[in-house]
Amino acid sequence: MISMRIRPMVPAASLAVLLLLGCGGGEEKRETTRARPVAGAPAASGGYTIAAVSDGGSVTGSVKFEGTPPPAEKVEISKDPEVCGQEKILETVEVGAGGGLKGAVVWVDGISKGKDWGSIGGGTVDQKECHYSPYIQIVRAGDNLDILNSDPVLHNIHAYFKDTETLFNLAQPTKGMKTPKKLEKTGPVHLKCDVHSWMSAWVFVAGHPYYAVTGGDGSFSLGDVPAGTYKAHAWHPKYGEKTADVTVAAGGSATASFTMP
Amino acid sequence: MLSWLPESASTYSPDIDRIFYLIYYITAISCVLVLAGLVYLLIRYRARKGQRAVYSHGNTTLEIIWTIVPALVFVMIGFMSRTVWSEIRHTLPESPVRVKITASQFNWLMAYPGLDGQLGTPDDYTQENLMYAPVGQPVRLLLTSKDVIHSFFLPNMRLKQDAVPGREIEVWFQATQAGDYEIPCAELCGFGHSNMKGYLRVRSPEEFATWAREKKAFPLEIATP
Repeated sequence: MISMRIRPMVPAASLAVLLLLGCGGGEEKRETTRARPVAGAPAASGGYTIAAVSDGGSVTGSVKFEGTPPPAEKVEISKDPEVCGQEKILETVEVGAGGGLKGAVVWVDGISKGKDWGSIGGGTVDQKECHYSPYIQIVRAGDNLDILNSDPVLHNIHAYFKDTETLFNLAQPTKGMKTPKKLEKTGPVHLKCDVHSWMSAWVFVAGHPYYAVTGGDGSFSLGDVPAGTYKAHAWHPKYGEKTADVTVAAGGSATASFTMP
Repeated sequence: MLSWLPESASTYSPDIDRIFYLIYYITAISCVLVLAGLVYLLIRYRARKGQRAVYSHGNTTLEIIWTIVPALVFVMIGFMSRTVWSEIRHTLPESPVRVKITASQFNWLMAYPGLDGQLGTPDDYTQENLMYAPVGQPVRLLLTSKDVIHSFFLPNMRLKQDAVPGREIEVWFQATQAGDYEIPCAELCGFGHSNMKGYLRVRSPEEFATWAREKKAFPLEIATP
């Protein structure tokens, strides 16, 4: 029997115990896979300063493909065919005349002060007819990637940093949904759809503006590069990364050439 | 009366349906009796002016009857279902037609052994959300999951089994007629759970063999009807 003095305190004491039990496990525990470092990849965002570049040089060159390009991969659609179609041709390895490899990301390491960001800033990726567009783009670290669903079906964007660690996992069930996601860590981010597994796109998060994506002929050009010796990188979603040393003289032009695979 | 059940298409689906009907009718009759009794008592012992409430201290005989009778019914159902459960889950018929199914958010990945007849080797043929099976032959399924718990559900075959990460669970079915059947996910697995649907295509042995040869999904001796 509870005494009359203690009885009024029982409800309050019970509530206090329940609150303590409920709050005790509130800390979210998420397992994250530590990404394996990519050789030569830029460090975490931050540390780049915009400053006038006097007697800036340039780094130009090309990324070439050696050998016979693989045939286009075709997949039979297994989900939402009324929107996605019956089959899809996956992003091919596009090789232009002269063997230039399109869609490779080229950047130069080791520049902490330099030109303005120019056209590199936030980005947008659209999901239309169960296809990401664009397939590859560069986004400034700290800026937003706007994710747009233009389809009347559910898409579930699962972003992987360096193809290992989950960066975010986002469901967009309705057409017209637009969700901004801030990208901080520099390096390649792979976008996949958990509902439509053939969907794939890449976002390269840049810590400085000396980045370019090769055109149809595989060429690239990086201007206003401060004089110095740097490591140039070329990265392709299918063939990985290659590096080359470049020395840029004041007002001069350096060349970096890459061959893949 | 139960025409709303999915079409029955496997060797053991009639056995499951028989027990389903039995339980359905027992519970339906019990429900009607209980509700009828409740309504009767509500009316019979409703409050009336000038009438004192009836104090009942229970009826031991009645309580014994309505405890023992349902208990016997449950035991009977248990014994009947035991033989069916044993047939479906405690036996795995020999069959060269084996498929490994890996569930993930939000797709089913089917892997066939390939020409070497071994699952888990480089020549395995994989296909998402679409499974082929022959009529009249047992098909053994190895279920697992890449991420969270899913549930592999073949309503027409009356087969349902959780796909659990870290485990490989083997089940089987034998289709009795050709057709296309849905494979929904029956365990809430995330936002795309309702979108997680595959299809089973049951074909004649000849059509299945043609498919298996074309895709190199099975050794040639299996891909020959």
